Parts: sequence; structure tokens; C-alpha cells
Amino acid sequence: MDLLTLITFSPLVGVLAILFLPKNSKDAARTVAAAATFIPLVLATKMWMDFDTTTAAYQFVERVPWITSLGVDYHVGVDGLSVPLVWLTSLLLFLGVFASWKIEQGVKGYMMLLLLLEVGINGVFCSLDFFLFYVFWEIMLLPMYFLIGIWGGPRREYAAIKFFLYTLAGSVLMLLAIVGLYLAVDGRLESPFSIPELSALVSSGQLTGSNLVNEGVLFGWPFLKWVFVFLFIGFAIKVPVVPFHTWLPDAHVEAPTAISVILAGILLKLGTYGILRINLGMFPNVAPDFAFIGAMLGLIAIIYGACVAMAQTDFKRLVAYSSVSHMGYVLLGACAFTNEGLNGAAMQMFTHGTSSALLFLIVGVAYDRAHHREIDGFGGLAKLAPVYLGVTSIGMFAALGLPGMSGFVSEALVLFGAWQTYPVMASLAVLGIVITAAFILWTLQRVFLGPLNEKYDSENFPDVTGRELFTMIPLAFLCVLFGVVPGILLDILAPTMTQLTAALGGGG
Amino acid sequence: MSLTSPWLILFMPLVAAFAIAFGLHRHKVLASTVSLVAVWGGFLITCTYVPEAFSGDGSWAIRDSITWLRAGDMTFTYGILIDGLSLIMLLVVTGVGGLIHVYSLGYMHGDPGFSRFFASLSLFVFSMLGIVVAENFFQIFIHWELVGVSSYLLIGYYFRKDSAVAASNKAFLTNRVGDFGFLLGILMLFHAFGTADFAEMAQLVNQEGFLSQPAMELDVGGGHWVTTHGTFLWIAGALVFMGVMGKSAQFPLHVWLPDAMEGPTPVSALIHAATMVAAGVFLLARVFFLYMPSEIAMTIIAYIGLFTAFFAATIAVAQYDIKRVLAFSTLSQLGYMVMAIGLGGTDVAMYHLATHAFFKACLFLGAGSVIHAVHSNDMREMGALWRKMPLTFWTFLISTLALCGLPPFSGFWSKDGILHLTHAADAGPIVYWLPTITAVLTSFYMMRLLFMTFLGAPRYQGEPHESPPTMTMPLVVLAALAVIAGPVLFSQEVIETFRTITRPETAAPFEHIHGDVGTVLAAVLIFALGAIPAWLAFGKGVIDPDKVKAAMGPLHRFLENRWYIDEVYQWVVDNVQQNIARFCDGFDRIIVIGMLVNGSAWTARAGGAALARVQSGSVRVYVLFFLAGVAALLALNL
Repeated sequence: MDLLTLITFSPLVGVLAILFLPKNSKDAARTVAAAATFIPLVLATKMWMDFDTTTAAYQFVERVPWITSLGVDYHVGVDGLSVPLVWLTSLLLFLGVFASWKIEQGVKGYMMLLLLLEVGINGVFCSLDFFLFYVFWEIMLLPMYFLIGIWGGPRREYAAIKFFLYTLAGSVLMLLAIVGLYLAVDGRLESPFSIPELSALVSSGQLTGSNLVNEGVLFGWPFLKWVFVFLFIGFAIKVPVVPFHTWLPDAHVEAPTAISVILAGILLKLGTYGILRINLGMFPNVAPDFAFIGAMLGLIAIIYGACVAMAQTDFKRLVAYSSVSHMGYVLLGACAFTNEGLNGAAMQMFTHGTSSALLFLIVGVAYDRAHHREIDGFGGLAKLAPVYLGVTSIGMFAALGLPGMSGFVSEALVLFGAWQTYPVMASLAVLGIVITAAFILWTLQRVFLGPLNEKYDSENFPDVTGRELFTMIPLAFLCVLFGVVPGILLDILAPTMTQLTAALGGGG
Repeated sequence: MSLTSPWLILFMPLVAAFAIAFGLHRHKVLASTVSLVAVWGGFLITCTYVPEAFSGDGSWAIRDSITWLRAGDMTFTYGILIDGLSLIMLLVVTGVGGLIHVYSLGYMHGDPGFSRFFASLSLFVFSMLGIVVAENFFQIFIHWELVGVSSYLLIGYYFRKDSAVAASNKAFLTNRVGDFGFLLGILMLFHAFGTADFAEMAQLVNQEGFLSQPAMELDVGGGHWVTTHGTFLWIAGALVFMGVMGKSAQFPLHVWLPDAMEGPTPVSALIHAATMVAAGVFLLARVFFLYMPSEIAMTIIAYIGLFTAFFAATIAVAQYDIKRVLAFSTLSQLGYMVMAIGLGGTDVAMYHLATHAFFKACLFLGAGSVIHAVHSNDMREMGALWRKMPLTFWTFLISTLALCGLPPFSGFWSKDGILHLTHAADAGPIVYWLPTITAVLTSFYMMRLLFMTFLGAPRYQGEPHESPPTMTMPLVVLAALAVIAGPVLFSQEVIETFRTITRPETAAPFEHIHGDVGTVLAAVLIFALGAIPAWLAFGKGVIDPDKVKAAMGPLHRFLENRWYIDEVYQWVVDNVQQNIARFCDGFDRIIVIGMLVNGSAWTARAGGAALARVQSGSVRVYVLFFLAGVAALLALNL
């Protein structure tokens, strides 16, 4: 077995181990989960170190025939786009175990689901076979559904069902598109699901679907356009793009802290990863028809998400809507089809992954102590928890795009890239940074500054514990690191993004 | 890296800030020492450059840079550019800044957040120095924002006070509004030039025919628009100027500065008199090449500066908080500098920036000394302090006279340079007279402040006494500078060299600053026109200010309430911005969630119920199913 297979499947060892633990062995389950998530983290770090940043080719490729009757391969490999995301997944799942340490009910089941979730996510990022991609995509769905539905807050069932239905709708669309593609390939490829080979066939213009429908036109649109739109909506739900976003705040509010962290930090990126890898990477000849709409949707998400965030009174909902806003930058940058824009989009996926994960951990700290999330129900906490304030400031300032923090670099790249293609939209997107600054500073003010809320004292609101710090410090460090030395990340992204830009015919 | 490396100037304060934050904060003496060493070290290194810079023809410069970010074809460097212009700023920031550090030792003594204060101060100095030595727009924007956040930390230093927190938010957000324009301007400039580097941009602008080339073509609504670089530049320039209006507190983005007086007094002196607010003026001087070719942009700048100068002076007349009078005076003086740049006088603007840094820092620190003694900001609770605090009084008096532009103090030379510019501009009666009228107002409100605080009858509580030497020493040094920064120390020749090195090569040749009898008499007359009424009302008591106030009625209220501009903004925030947020939120809840989602949720409820039965609540079963599936798939493969 090679590196990527090990990274993807090593958490399964943990699942098996926990399965055979005696009942009520909570600490053992936690420890096993920590160990089982630590292995992929170490391996993913090795992968990042060994990755050759001079080429855009897929690396660490493994390819074994799997379902031979359909031509499905177990085909995995990574490039500059997926390496940082695999690493981030491994990191956040590892931290997620520690953030879940205080879960007391059904620990074994919880940890097993968490480990399965990791298998699914890393599987998606590594897959180079569309069928395999879909299988992993579905593997991810159920653990998430259970984690929210069983360990969530008061309205967990509603939130879980909503999450499930939305995601299912997206999956169905994706499945339809995959089946359509398979039929259109019509035996011309030995591995009809292979993402690189499909991409080559589609970009060469040989795949039109004319064998399926008359002249490849269906209801007035070319066949490929339909496939593109189905896939785009499928991924857009996951991002989530306005107006498909309403599952997100509910899921976040009900989910336990660690699940929110993973949801915001990684799951949302699967949507934009799909858009970059599949929509843009596989259909460079169709994508330009939708670039304007995509950029527009990105802009709407930026402004609308920030405006709604401004009106929130629930700390967690506010962070959830800020995620909607920040993910808009990814879409805007990607749809500009410029090198800077795509680099910015890919970087924003990572930087938002660290900063939003940090923010949800921060919300979790407050909730664990106060048992509520009303922003106005806090006040003056700086006095009780100076260390907590310090970490929070890093998370908040990273989110508002302060220079020196990673979010600034990625957002600036998106704006520079987008301005070249859509000057008006990029200009309006700059408004987002003003609104974001407003709601973030007001939150900081209402929670931490001013006179201390009399309800709290050092007894019921102690400063952060060592375990909490352990989960937050790595993320805070990354927020600063990539803000000061963005080259570490950009160097790894660059060849892949340059190739993608060239395929899309964009300049810059 | 040698001991006189310019990188040291920039990074020593950053290292100091981190050292204090992550270790030294428990040792107050050590923390403040590190902070002081960092800023004074920078000052000393800067001084080693002075002889060379002043001896040449103005072309002296140090450059060094590293590649910071590369994406696609875009490369951004982070570097050091020290020429005459940035050298002057470096001297002001590290010199005046250093004195304020010393003063803070006394002023903040015994404060529980002493170490935090010095860490923030060092962070601020680092941010500010980054603006000064920046070699491209991207770098300057980075530090522009860092200055924003470090001033946020300093203004909100007393974070348990609601008013301090509100003021720090206001400062940051108002600046962000300005930075919105600034960033847009940078995006446009980058598009037009393909670079953000100042030197390369300047070269392009001065290239034959560059300005008439097309910069962008747009197809809007059937029309085909071609924009030339010339048009593009003035729009971009005006947008960049928005950033300047934020940092240098020009109308209508001035509202944050008076509120920012909530910070400790040394902060007011440092960032609101000598450094941060000067950043905007400095930026205009730095990128003057962008504005010079465009009459529209220059006119906008000149009139915004002119209006700010006048408007702020009228408000200063009716304030009772000693720091607020100084704050509005700062606005007014910044208006002078901005106006001077709009009229093409970057050199006199920079000269006024330097002298103003000396006497205004001295005034703020003096005010801090007074507040320290009487525990009040209200001038109605002061009076007759000159006997109790002689050093504070005399230094304050000198700085006041310098600010009023009375010869032979430094303010006379720099302000005369600006007034001369307005008289020579040939731009109509407003530009000719209003700055002069503003100078009369300046004399009035400053003498009013002086009389109310130090002379007349005592109205204070308790027993005020002179401040400790750490606080008075900087006052003496600054007051001395306020005197000798005119030709007393600097010969006419040095002043001319100063102006040569702070002026872009391509700017128009300047008028010499006049020290002749006519100018001196005019300056004295301007001073007297303002000072005599102030003396009659607040010194001698011949005129009862309350009667005047009553007679002025609405006008006085208008001025006292700062033209009601804050109220207008508050109304906009409460009504417009809050309603937009609420509307979006309501839209999200009702329309999107209500119709689209619950509709589908309702139809899916039956399916959901079925699903619930399948789940049977057992994760274990699910996991087993999953593993069985994996095994089956593996088997398929084998």
C-alpha cells in the first residue's frame, strides 16, 4: 500500500479497534481516536514535504482496477490543489478528537463516526476516478448526518434532516451527471471514470453526447452544459452558495463544536474543490459560459453573507454566515479565470479552513462555560480570560483580513485576479471587507470588551484550559504563518493553478 | 547585516513588541526598556544617514528588497526605500516617538497594563515605520492596515470603558471605509501599470504619451468606452485619496479623531499629532507623481484640505475638553498640509508636518501633564495653573505660539510657506482668504485654551503639582525643537535643502520662504486678530464669554456639536445600515428558509420518517454495515 491509501484508510484501523473495546471505555476510545487521526497527520506531513512543487502532474499516483465490469479503477493521486487540503483534513480531524474530549454520551460511536468521516473526506480529495470520488462523497454524508443528529443541540433532528436532504439533492444531481458522462463516453475510454482521461476527452471536444441525444442538444442546451450545471449545483450546495446556503447555519448551530470545526474547515471546501477540479478542470470549454454567473454568485455570497452576519445575535450563527461570505471569495476568484484569481481561490480555501475552524473552537469555549451563545449575553470577558482574548483576537483579525494574517493574502489575490476580468464586481466585493470588519469588531466589543457582565466570575468562566489551547494554538499559528510567509502555500499551488489557468484560456 | 542596516530600524520595534507580549510582560522595567531601545536605536541609525542625505542634490536613497509573494505573473516585493522624504519621516517618527516613549514611562507609571501599553506602542511604531519605508503600494497598504489595528489597540487601551471601546471601533471602521477606496485605487493602478512599485510607476507616468494611451475598454449598454491612462489615473488617485482622508482625518472621514482622545494622552500625542495622521500627508507626497498630471485630482485634494482646515478650526473654538480642542486643531493643521499638497507644495507640506509634530506633540503631552495634575479634561475645571506647573506652562506657551505661527517660532516659517502658496495660487478669493481667516481662528482658540488652562482664576480641585522629570524632559526637548526648527538652528540654506530632498524631482520649482518685514508684520497681525479677543474674553475678562455664547445661540450650539456630523453618521448607522442587515436577515429567515426549504422539507417529511426507522438509533449497526460494504468491495476487487 502506498502513501495516499495509507492516509485515507489508516483511520479504519481505529474504527476496528474502538469497535472491539469494552462498553463504557471512554478514555480508551478517545485515545485510540487520537492515535488513529495522528497517523494520517504524520503521513500527510510527509506527503507535503516530499511533494515536487515544480510540476503540475499528479503525484503519489496509485491505480488498480477495481470494478472491472464498469471500468472503475481505484485511482488516487494528488496535485497542488489537493495536497494542502488533505493535510488540513488530517490536522482538523486530529484536533477535532481533542475538541470532542468532553463528549460523554456514546463516545465509542462518536469517535468511530469521526474516523469514518476522515476516510470519506481524504478519499474525495485523493480520488482521480469519478466513480471513486462519488463513493467517498457518499461515505462522508452519513457520519456527518449522525454526528449532528445524535450529538447535536436541541433542534438537532431538524438540522440533521435538512443537511441530509440538501446534500442528498446535490448527490443525486452529481450521480445523474456521472451516469450521463459514462454513457456519453460510450466505451471510448478504457477507464471511463478516470478524471484526467475524461478531462482530456472533454477538452478535446470529442465528448458531445451526440450518441445520446440528437446532435448533442437537449432542451435547447448542449448536453455538456447540462452536465456542467448539474455538477455545479451539486457542488454549490456544499459550498454553500446563496441561495443554497440555509442548511449551513442550522447545521452549525446544532452541531457539536468539533463537528462545526470540521464542517466549516473542510466540508465546505469539498464544494469548491469540486468546482475547481471537476467543473473548471474537466470542462474548460463549457466553464466560460458560466463564469459570469459564477462570479456573480460569489459576489452575492460575499455581500449578502456579511449583511446577514451583521444582524445575528447568536455567536455561532454569526460565524456560520461569515463562512458563507468568505467562501464567496473562492467562487469569485475561481470564476475570474486568471492566475491570481485561481491562486487566491485555492489559497482562500485553506486560509478560511484554518480561520473558521479557529472561530468555531472559540465559540465552543464560550458555550462550554456559559451554556448559551447570545452575543449580548457576554461582555467584558477580557478581564476573566486574557489568554482566550488573545487567541480570539488572532482568529477574528484573520477573519477580517488583516495584513499579516493569511486571509488577507488570499482575499487580496482574489480581488487582484477578479479585477482583471470583472472590475465592477471586484470593486463591489471590496465592500465586503468593510462590512466584515464591522461585524467582527462589534462582536469582539460585545463579548470581550467593556464592563464585565456580572453573571460571570473566575469560577464559572475560567480562562482557556490546556486542552483547549492545544486545539487552538496550531490553527492560530497557521493563520499567522501563511500571512507572513504566503510562499509556503503558494509555491505548492502555483504549478497546478498555472496549468488550470492555461486550460481555461485565461491570462494573468 | 550591518549595525546601521535600515531593516533594523523597521524590525527592532516588532521584535520588541513580540518580546514583551510573549515573555517580558511580567517585568515592567525590562518591557519598557526594550521598547525604548527599539525606537531610539532606530533614531540613532537614521541619524547616521543624515549627513549624506543633506549634502547631496536630493537624489540620495537607500533601497533593498525581498520577494514576498508571487502568484502567476504578479510579484510583490517587501522592501526598504529611504530617500530624503522618508528620512524626514523616519526622524519625526523615531525622534518624536522616542520622546513620547520616555514621557509614557512617567505618565503610565503604576498602570496595571504598563507592559501591554509598551507592547502596543512598539507594534504601532513598527507599523508606522513600514509606511514610511514602503517601496510599493501593496506594502504601504499592509502597513496602513497594521497602523489601523495598532491604533485600535491603543485607543481602546482602557478597554473596560465603553466609550474607549466605541472610540477604537469608530477609528478602525472609519479608516476601513477610507481603505475601501484606497484598495480600489490600488487595484486600478495595478491594472493600469502592471506594477505597484513607486519608482516604476513614476517612470511610466513621466513617459512620453503614456497618459493618452488607452487603459481600459468597456462595453456597457451598447456603448464602447475607452478610458485613457490619464482619466484612469485621476479616478484611481481620488480613490487612493480616500485612504488619506481616513488616516489623516480629512472631512468627511474626520469623525474618528476627536473620539480617539479616549486613549491615554501619550497615544494622542504619538498617533494623533505626530505620526499616524501624518501618514496620509506623507503618502500624498510619496505618490505625488500620480496627482501632478491631473488638475481634477489636485483640485479635489486642495479643497478637501482647505475645507477641513476651516471647518475644524470653527469647531475648536467652542470645545471645553482640552484634548478635543487640540484634536480639532490637529484636524485643521492636517487640512493645511493636505491643501498645500493640492496646491503643489509637497515640500512646505512636509515642513509643516515636521514642525507641527514637534509643537503639537508638546501640546498634547503638556495637556496630559495638566490632566495628570487636576484629574479632569475640562478646561472649566482648570485655570491659574502656571504657578503650580511652571515647566509645563512655559513649554506649552512656546508651542502655542509656534502653532499660532508667530515669528520667530518654527510654525511661523512652515505656516507662512503654506499661506504664501495660497496667495500665489491664483485660484480665487476662497483659496486666497480662507486659510488666512483660519489662521486667525487658530490664534483665537489656542489663546483661549492657554488662558482658560493656565491663567485667570483657579477652578481646579485638590493640589496640582508639576509632573515628574520623565514627563517634563520630553516637553522641554519638544518645545526647544518648536523654537529652533525655524531658521534659528537651520539656516535658510538647510531649510532649502530640506525642501529639495522632500520634493519629487518633477515638481514645479518652489517659492522661497520669506522672512522679510512684510511677512513678519502680517504674521503678527494675524496672531493679534485672534489673540486679542481671546485675551479680552478669557484673560482680562472684559467680555463675558457666556454672554457672547448666549448671543450666538444656535451658531454656538452648531459649533459645539461639531456641525452635527457625528449625529448624521449615527443616524445612518442606526437606520440605514442596521435596517439593511435586518432586512437581509429577515429575507433569509422568511423567504429563503420559509418558502424554498420548508416547502421541500414538508414533502420530504414522509421520507424522513421512514429514514428514522432505518436508522434505529444505532451507530454500531451502521458502522458494521459500512465495514461489511468495504469488505465486499475489496472482495469484488480480488
